[in-house]
Amino acid sequence: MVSLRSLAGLGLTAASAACATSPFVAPSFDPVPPPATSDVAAVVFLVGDAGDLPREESPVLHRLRADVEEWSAALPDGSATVLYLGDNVYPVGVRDPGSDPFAADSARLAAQVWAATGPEARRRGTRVWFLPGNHDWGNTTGPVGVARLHNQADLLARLAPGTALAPPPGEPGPVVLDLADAARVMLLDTHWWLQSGDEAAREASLGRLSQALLEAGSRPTIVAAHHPWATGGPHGGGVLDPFFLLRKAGALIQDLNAPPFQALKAGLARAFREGNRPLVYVAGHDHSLQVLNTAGPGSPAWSLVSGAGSKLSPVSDTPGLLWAGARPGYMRLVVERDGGVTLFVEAAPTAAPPCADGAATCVARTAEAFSTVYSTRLR
Amino acid sequence: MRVGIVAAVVLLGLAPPARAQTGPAVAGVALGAVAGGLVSMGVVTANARRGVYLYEADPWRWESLPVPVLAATAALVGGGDGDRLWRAAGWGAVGMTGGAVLGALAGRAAWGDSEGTWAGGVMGGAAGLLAGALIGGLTGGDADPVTVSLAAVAVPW
Repeated sequence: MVSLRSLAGLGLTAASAACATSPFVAPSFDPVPPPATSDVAAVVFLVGDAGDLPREESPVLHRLRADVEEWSAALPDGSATVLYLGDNVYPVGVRDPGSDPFAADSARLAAQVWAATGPEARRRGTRVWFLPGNHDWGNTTGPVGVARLHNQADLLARLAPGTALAPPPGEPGPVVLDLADAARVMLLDTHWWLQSGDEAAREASLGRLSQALLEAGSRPTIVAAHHPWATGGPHGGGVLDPFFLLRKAGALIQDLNAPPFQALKAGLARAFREGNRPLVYVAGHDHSLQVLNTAGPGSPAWSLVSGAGSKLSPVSDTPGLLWAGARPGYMRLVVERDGGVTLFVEAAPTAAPPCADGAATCVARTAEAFSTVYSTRLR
Repeated sequence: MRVGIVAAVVLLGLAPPARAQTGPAVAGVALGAVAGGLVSMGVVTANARRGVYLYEADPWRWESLPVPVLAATAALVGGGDGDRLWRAAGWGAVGMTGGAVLGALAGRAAWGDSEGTWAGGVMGGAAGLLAGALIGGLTGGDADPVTVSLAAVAVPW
């Protein structure tokens, strides 16, 4: 029997070794100096998966608010945009008004509205969009999920007129935003795609996306959605966690390996080939900050993951990954008048402790400790 | 799933009502939980291959049932007859390894991609584990005719 026990141990060891993944070690980089504000045409803030913390516990939202205020004040009216990249309300979106969890759900959404609608932001007409993520859909499908999105859209309209859920509940998009004629942003609801079996609606959506990319001309284009194009996080299947085998087997629909997800990517790749491929594809979903160079046929030139708004998950090395960090933060795209686009990654120090239980001093101290941890010119 | 439940019933039946052995019982909980986890993954993977997906990796779903069932079963088997537990674990590991290899090959042939290979491996590993544990649990010792008959019923499933 000892030999059989040894055999079992050997098997487990071999399986572990086969599954091992290499953690990503962020390289040093040459910081890009911020452009003069007179050269800036538009700024886009990218914040994902921010719906797990109320305002008083979130250094990210405090730092974001200060940043949005500063840029809103510095630029002409309507030049700043805040994109919340989905999973705006954990764990299952905004439940029905009158239900017990509604107050907590509302507080999570209100915190993000607060961060993006300070006095300068309101005065300068800073635009704020919330994309739907799988948790906003209630982690489910069909009418139940769409009802959760309606709850969120209604709540946003009450919290701050001018903020909106985009695409609208139950629609795939794209919603097309032109940023001061300097850049074009297209917003997609990728969870709609994963749960929908409506092939005609899918094709129509892809056709509109392709057309919007073509009509953007030489302007930089940004496609924004909740689910990433590429990732070194758990949803990419490269991180050893309890669901590793299921992820590798494509058994979880929220993972890039799942056949429906691969069909989504194939559809987007076709739209990118038929239109002009986007400069940047931005998303959340994995709870980290990642910069990937994904250049290739049918791929965006750059893929960004900005999903560290309220949760953190590890990142392992993956093809094209230039920089990554599992630390609280967000990203900022600066579009210059000459068409140049620069990315700035703003994050807390690696060792920043979580600020639980509304420890105001901890939140303030961590928010002040944020810095630009990575920057690069995308175009 | 049904095979897992039948396997649990069979192995429970094999545990003689002798004096309890604490060490093997505790080991049985751990081994059974790990085995149940793999069986659960096999069920989830099989469902996904027919287009029924989990939208969230939630541990509190019916697909997770093999974890407590096999943990309890293995604890009872280990508590009653430690040698039988080790035999079941050893043969389960052999079955899992063989099933994973064969399943991966079959998955590769059937679906032709990396995910299909892994899916076949997970499903094959789960099936092989159950089969191996059953064989290990039933061989040697004093298997009574009732439990052997139950095992025979389980095989066609």
